[in-house]
Amino acid sequence: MDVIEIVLIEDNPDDAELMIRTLKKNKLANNLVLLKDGEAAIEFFFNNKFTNDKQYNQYPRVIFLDIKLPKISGLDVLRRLKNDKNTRNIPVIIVTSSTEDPDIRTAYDLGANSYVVKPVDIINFRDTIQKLGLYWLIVNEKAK
Amino acid sequence: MLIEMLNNLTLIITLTVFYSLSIRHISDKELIGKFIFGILFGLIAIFGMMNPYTFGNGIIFDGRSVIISVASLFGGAITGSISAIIAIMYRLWLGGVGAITGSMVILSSALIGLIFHYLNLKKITNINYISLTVMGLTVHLTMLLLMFTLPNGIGLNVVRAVAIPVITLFTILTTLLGMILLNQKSKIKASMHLSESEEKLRYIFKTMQQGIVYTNCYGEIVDVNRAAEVILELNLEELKGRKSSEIFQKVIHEDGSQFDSNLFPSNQVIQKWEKVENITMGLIINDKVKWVNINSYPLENPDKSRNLIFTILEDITERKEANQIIKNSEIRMRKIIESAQVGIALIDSVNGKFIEVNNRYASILGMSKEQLLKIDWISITYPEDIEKDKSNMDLLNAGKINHYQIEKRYIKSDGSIVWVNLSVVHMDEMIKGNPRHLAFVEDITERKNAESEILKLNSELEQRVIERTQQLESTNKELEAFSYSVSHDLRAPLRAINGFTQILLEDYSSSFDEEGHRISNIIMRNAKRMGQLIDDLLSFSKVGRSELHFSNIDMQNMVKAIYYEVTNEKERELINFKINDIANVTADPNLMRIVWTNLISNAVKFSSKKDISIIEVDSTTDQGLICYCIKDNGAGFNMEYIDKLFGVFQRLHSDDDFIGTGVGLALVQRIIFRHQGKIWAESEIDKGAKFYFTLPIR
Repeated sequence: MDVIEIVLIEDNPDDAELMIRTLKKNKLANNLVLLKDGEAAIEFFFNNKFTNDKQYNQYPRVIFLDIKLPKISGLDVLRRLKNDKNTRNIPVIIVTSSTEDPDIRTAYDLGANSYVVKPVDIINFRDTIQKLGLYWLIVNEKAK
Repeated sequence: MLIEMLNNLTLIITLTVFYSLSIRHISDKELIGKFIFGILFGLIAIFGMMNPYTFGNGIIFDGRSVIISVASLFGGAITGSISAIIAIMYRLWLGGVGAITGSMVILSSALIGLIFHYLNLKKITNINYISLTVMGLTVHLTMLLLMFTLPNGIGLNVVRAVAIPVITLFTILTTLLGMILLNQKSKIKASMHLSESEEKLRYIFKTMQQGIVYTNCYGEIVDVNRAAEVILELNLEELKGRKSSEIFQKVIHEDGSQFDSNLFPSNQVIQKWEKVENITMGLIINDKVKWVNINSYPLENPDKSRNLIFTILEDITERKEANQIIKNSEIRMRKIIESAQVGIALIDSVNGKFIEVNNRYASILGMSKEQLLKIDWISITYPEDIEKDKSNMDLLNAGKINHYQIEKRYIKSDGSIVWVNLSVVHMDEMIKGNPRHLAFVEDITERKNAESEILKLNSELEQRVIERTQQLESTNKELEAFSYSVSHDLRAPLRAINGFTQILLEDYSSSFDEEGHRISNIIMRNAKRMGQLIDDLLSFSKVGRSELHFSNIDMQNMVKAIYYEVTNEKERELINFKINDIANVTADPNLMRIVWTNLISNAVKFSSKKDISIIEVDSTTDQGLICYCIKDNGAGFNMEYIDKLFGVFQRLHSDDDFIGTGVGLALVQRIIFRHQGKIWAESEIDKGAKFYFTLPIR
C-alpha cells in the first residue's frame, strides 16, 4: 500500500499538468493522486475509500482543490470534506484562477485553509506550504 | 242792626279781596306769610269792631268771632294768634264792661278755629260747609256761654236778646266767609297750577327737537316752535299766516315725484278731521332736500268745535341718508354674492336648512334656488361625509371654533357626486330666531379628479420604475457574471499557452536555437499581454457598474503607499518622488487607488528613460473643488493627440517605447467622471507631462 501525500482535484488537464510539472520539478510530487472532478473526489474519499488504481490506507497530508469543477462543484466537495470527521482535519488549499474570485470568501467560510492562484509557480507554492506549516512536504527525498 | 250786618258783610268782602290779592303773592305756608295774614285778619277784626252793634253799656257785637275763628282755621296757630292778639288789644283799649268777656270771646274763637285747623290738617275733617257750620255754631255757642261772665248778671239778658241772631246769623256768616275764602284759595291755587302747567308746556314747546307747527282750519300757520324754524329755515314772523303749500320751493315723495299740496298731512287733517301719521316728505329748501317725517293731529276746543291742527315735524334727512348708504351697500353686497363664482349660502345652525343661496350654489348642486330653500344640507351630503361635517358644525355651534374648512361630497339632484371645498363661518348677527352660518362652496371635482389621476399615474410610474430597476439590476448581474466567467474562461487557455511555452523554454531549450527562443518569447509575451488586457477590461467594466462607497481618504498616505507598491527599491533609487501637503477628500477609496496606481505607474514608466525621474504630486483647493496634479519629467506626449489620450486602447506610444494596454487612462477617466470630477493633461515632448484631476468636496 502506498502512502499518499497530496491529492489534487483539478478538471483542466493542462492546468493539472502544469501544476504537477512544477511540483515534480521541485521533487514535491511524490505520492500525488489526481482526481478529475468533484464526483471522482467524492467517490475517492467517501465511497471507495481511497481506491483509485491503487489502494491507499491513509489520508493524504494535503488536498489541492480547484474551486471551479464541473458536476459537483469544488465548494460542495469542500463542504463534504469539512463535515466528515475523518477528513475534516486534512488541510485544504483552494486553487483559484484570480484573487478576485468571490468564491474564495465562501471557501474560507466553509473551512478552507489557504489558497493559491493558477498558474501555481514554485514561489507561490512554497509560501503557502510554509504558511500551513507543512514543512515536511518540502523534503527532497523520501526514505523508502 | 241791619246796618251793622251790612257793615260786616262789607268787611267780609274787603277781607276776601285782600286775601285773594295776597294769597297770589304771599305763600301762607311760610312764616312771613303767616305773620302777614295774621296781621291782615287782625286789622279787619279791628275795623269790624269800629262799627259794632252796641247792646247797651259797652257790650258790642261785631264779626270778630267770625273773622278770628276763620283766621285760625285757614292760617293756623301763628296767623290765628296774631290776629287774636291784635283784636284783643284793641278790645281792651276800647274798654267797657264787656272788655274782658269780649277778649275771652276773641280768644275762644281763635282756639276753636285752631282746633278745626288741626282737624283739617290731620285730615280728620275737610274744610267744607258742614265743618264750617259746625265750627260756626261751636264758636258762637261758646260766645253765648261766655256772656255769663259779664258782671252784674246781665249775661242772661244779653243772651236772651242776642242768642237767636248770633246763633243763626253769625254762624251763617262764619260759613259764608269760610266758603268764600276757601273758594278763593282753591281758585287761586288752581290758576297757579295752570300757570305752572302752562309754563312747563311752553318750555317743552320751545326746546324740543321735533318741530311743531300749529295751523288753523284754513291751513295758515299760527305758531311754530324753535325746532320747526330750524327745519323750515324760516322764523315765526316769516311763517305766520302763510299756508304750508306756499313756504316750500318744492316738495317730493321718496320716489322723487311731486308731492301734491292737497296731500300734505296738515291739509289732509283739515279735510278729514282725523289724525294723519308717519308721512315722509322731501322738502326742497334752499336747493337742498330735507327729509321729514310728519304726524298731524286735529285739536278740538272744549266744546268740540275745531280749533287748530297740530303737526310734528321730524328731520330724518340724516337717517334717510344713512339708510340709503346701507341700502346701496346691501345692493352692492347682493350683486357681489349673486355674481360670485363661489357658492354662498346662509344656513340655519339648528335645523341645517338653507335660508338663502346664491346662483352659483344652486348650479353647483344642479338644483334650483327654490328647491334648495326647502331642504337642509344633511339631505344632500354624501353619507360618508356627514359625520365629518356634523362634528365640525357642532364645534362651531358650541363656539369652540369660529370657522372650519373641509372637503366633502354633495349628491346632485341627478344622483351624481360633486366634490367641494366647504368653508363655514359663524355669523355674529343680532337677529331673532336661530343663529346662522355662512357657507362657501367651491367645486373641486376637477381638482379631485386630477389628483386621483396623478396618484394613479404616480403609482404606475413607480411600478414602471421598479420594473425597470429590476430589469437593470438583473442585466447588471448578468453582465457581471458574464464578464467574470468570460475573463475566467479566457484566462485558462492563456495559462496553458504561457505555462507550456515556459516548459519548452526551460526543459527543451537545447532543442531550440536562438530563433526558437525568440519565437517562444514572442508567444509568451503575447499571452501575458492578453492576460493584462483581460484584467484591464474586467476592471474597466467593473468600475462602470460598481457602487461608489464614499469615505474620507488620506490622499497623502495613499499616494505614498501606492508609490511603494508599484516600484521596487532599485527603481526608487533613481526616482525623486515628492508628495506635497495634498488635501484629503471624500471619495471611493478602491477606485481612487486604481486612479493613483495608474497615474503613478505611468509617471514612473514614462520617465524611466531619464537618468533621474522627477515626479511631483500636489493639490489645490478652490470653490468646492480639489485639484490634484502629478508631474513627471518623462517622455511626455504630443499635445496634438490629446483627444486620444483617454480613449480605450488608444496609445500614444508604441510598445517598443513603453509597454501598456492603453486602458489605464480610460479607466482613470471613467473613475473621475463617476466622482463628478474632471481630468486633463498638459505635456511637451521630452519635457514631461502634467496630469490634473478635480474632485468635488463632499
